[in-house]
Amino acid sequence: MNEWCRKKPLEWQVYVNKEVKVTAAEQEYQGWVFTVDPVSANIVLVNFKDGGKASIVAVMGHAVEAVDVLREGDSSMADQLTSLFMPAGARSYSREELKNRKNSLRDWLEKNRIPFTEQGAQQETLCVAGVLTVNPPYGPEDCSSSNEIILSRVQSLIQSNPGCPQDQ
Amino acid sequence: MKTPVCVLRLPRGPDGTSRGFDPSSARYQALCTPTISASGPVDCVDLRSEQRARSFLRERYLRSLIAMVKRNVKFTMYEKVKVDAVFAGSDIDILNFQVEDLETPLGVQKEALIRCPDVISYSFEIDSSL
Repeated sequence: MNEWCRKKPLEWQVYVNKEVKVTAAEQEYQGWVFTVDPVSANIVLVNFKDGGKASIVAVMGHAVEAVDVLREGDSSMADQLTSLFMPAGARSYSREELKNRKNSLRDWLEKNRIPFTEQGAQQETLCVAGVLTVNPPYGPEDCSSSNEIILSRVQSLIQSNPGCPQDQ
Repeated sequence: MKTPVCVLRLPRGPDGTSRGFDPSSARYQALCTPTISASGPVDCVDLRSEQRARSFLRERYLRSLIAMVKRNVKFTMYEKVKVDAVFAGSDIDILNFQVEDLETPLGVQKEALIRCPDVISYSFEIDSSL
């Protein structure tokens, strides 16, 4: 195992969002560190190209000979890197939006006379009829239950909520 | 569309339970070693931050693997071997990559397993949705 593989996750994390030059097996690779896999020590490097494309190169941990930091990335680079691999349409909601979505769902459930309780450290989870839970952001995909029939019923109910702000 | 060649079956490599196999060799370490190396004795707070770092890094790596599925990937391997293939998946220890339509000098292998210890680097392109 080489020196790179022997590092700890906290040491690898330091390299994230930095532009580095990696020497491996007589080749040099340069790019912004997206991540270092803690299992294999593989370094994932990103280079943004013109035309809305990004070229990704991953150097296997066992082949890494040296890693030199060229420069630090700012927060916009960090955001760019993170959003690269996030699934399309993924968005994070503010506390205000989450509260509104929860209240909208609560009102809709009450209107349809479905019993529910609120659970969790911040009362963020809705427990419907004791068998189904809805987590933030309270969309149809955020329901979990071991009862298929109730699951599909509640999912279509949530889908048909007229008061809920639609994303798409 | 290239015609795939028939599968070559190579002899099975040694696993850790075969007789006469050296447990201190790099290959044994790669195939049979426990995946997550634990740190030495650390206190609770350090362990927590180490675990947080570990899961942060691993999640990002897994997402990069997901982004790679069904894309053309170039693998640079030892002995100056460079091959193209369509990435299909990886195992949990990142020891093997499953690929399809692997272009080799012998022809196109419809399905193949690439051993990660043989790989130096791999690269692919994606659209950066900006």
